[in-house]
Amino acid sequence: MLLNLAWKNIWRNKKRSLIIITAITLGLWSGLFSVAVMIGSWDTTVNSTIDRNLSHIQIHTKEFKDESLTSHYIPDGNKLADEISNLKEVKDVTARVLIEGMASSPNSSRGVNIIGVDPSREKNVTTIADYITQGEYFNGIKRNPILVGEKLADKLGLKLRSKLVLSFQSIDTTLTYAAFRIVGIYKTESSMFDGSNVFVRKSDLYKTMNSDPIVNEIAIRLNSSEDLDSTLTILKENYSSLVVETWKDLAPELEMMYEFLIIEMQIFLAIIMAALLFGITNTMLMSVLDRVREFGVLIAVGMKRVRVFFLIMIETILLSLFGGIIGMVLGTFTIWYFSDKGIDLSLFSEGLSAWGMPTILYPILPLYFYGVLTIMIVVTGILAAIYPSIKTIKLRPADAIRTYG
Amino acid sequence: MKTYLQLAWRNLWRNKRRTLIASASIFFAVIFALLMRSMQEGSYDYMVDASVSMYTGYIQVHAKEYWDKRSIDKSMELSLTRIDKIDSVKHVTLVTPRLESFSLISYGNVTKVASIVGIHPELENKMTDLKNKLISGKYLTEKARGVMIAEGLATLLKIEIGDSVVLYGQGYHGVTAAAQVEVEGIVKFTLPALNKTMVYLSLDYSQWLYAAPNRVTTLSIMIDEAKKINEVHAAVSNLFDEKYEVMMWSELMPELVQSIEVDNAGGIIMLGILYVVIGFGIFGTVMMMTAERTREFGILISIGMKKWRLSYVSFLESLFLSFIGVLAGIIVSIPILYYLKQNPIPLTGEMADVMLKFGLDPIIPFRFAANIFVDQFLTVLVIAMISALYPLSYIRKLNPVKAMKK
Repeated sequence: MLLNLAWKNIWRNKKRSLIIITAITLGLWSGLFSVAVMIGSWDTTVNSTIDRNLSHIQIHTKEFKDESLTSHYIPDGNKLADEISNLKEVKDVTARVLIEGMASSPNSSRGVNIIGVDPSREKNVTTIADYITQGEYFNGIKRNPILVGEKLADKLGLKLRSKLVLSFQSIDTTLTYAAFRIVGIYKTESSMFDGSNVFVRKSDLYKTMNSDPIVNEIAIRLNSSEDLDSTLTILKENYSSLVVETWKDLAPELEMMYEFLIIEMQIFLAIIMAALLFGITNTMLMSVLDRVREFGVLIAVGMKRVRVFFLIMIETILLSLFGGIIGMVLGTFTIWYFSDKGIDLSLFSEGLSAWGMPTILYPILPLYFYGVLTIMIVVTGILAAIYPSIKTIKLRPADAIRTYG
Repeated sequence: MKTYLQLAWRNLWRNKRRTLIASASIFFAVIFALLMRSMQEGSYDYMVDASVSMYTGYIQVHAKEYWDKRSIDKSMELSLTRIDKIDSVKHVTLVTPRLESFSLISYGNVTKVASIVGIHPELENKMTDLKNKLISGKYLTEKARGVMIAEGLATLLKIEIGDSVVLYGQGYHGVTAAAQVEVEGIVKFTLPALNKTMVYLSLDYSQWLYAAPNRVTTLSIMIDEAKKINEVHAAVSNLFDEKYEVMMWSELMPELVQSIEVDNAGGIIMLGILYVVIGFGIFGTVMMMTAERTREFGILISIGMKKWRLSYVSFLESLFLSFIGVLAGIIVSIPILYYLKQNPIPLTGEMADVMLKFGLDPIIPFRFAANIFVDQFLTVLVIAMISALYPLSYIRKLNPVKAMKK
């Protein structure tokens, strides 16, 4: 009965109710959408980091994790890589040689990570081949070809087919120099990555270092990211002497970004709710003051004050929920539409790229956010209702009846 | 004119409750907008300040092209009179010279690439608080012939105080720069990028090692007020001819500027959403207030009050109302924001640990500056004024006969 009455009361002053409902709707709609965009951008960043070089799972020796020395290679690494690539969850595996060294041009020198790969396998695991902007992916130069990032090429003043000298500590700890020629220049979303990583054929490194075919890192790409945990468990069991890590362990800053984001988004939604709260309170207060006489009559003819109190409460909550639900439905629909189509952010692309963020992003919203939001709306409704409701039950019917609003 | 103002003012206080409700909605709007903006800009200030005093400084002077090439060949003659001149520029607190380069560093059979920096130990300490980061050994002296090495790098190389490391790199004009030096101190940085790469020498010794006597690559300048940067940059630029480059932190760390811009764009969108919500709240209140007075307006018009006069008075009323709300909001926010600026909100738990790991203080900083207040004051006022247009059109369309029957 009260519910029915409350609903009808809301629509007695359509204009007033519609304004506050529109405010709630717009607030939630845009709030939800921007939260989804922020989380979506994080998600896209993660995916591009996985695609670019991390892959889903990596294996190193424990010593290599501590000291990053090439001499800490994985025993029988290539055989191990073949074994892993036979697992059914695994799409492909790339076994890499990693060396920290210096890249020098006639102009300048820079510290770089030298990544020795098998070009055909690497292509199946990461997307570095797709990022080539000049030249070709290990094609066109026979002797010691090298892929460098655009940023590094800029800093060293190098062009396609320029020569560059890598100096590094060989596996037998002697200092080694080798000249490489730029076969391709790549540009990923992350300028930081481009400035510090070079790719060479690992066979060239073996020749230069005079070493056996050693492997420091095995990067594994899965068919589906849903198999991550199960595959991790299998690998950890099989290779307990090695360090098996997922991208989450490898790039902890991504997790930190996510935690930050969630806190920031919740603060943001809370501020919007607080602003709405005052809007709702004002509206209800006006509405109550308008109806002083009516409440006076209701109480005078015997309606319990508690019921009047709850009437106002229910009116306020209904009003908030009504706007909230429309807002959520619209928000969900917008998110769903853009999650398929993507939002083009190429306007800001320079800034985004510094953070390794891609320029097209797909908004997503974790399901639990809807739950959090619904609770937030109800709480906002209740808080907003308290003051107007108290005003009503404090009315003295004899005076109230004589009030002409 | 005075009559209108008086009338509007009195009207406002005829129904105190209504006026208070309406200005309260504006009041809270101002507070929320201010809090949000202050938090955002505060975090940028903090990021800039932290990055600047971590290493780069607000302004750097190099020989032309050094920044692009990072080659010791693009170093410059160190002139004390020049440094004195920079020092005497207003707002400059500190000038410190550096000779920076990359070299290989080896110990035993481990070799790493390190960023080798020749520093003036005392000045460097004043700028980056380096002495406090010392965890063992002793701090470099001006003529020291040893190295001070970052803790992460020391661990990788497995070295301790007293061990001798080999530095191997390229000196001035292609000279091979190699030497065996003793580790005198170990410093710990929170930022992994620094902690795994930094090696410090005394400026004196590094000039000898790199065969670059009396040369430096960088003059790093600190100033006392971040917002005076343009002024100082102009003054310092005047001291140098075109053979030098004078760069601000925004040029030295374009990634930082861009990431702030991206975040700021997001922040402004959110602020926009907040304004929409606020705008509807204010508009709703104004609308209801007008509707309540239909009868009064009807009577006034029918006894001969001109509609434009009535509109004028009610516009003045809305204006007063907005002013009261905005001013009250700002007056209340000033101490709140000032307090938050002095006592940033501390973060706790896991979040705090993660932030510490990345070299950030676990706090939510705020900015307390006039521009925030002015911006929010104007924006909210504009929103309130737009809402104030409603009564104008309402009165214009009012039919006095119908209105009186309400």
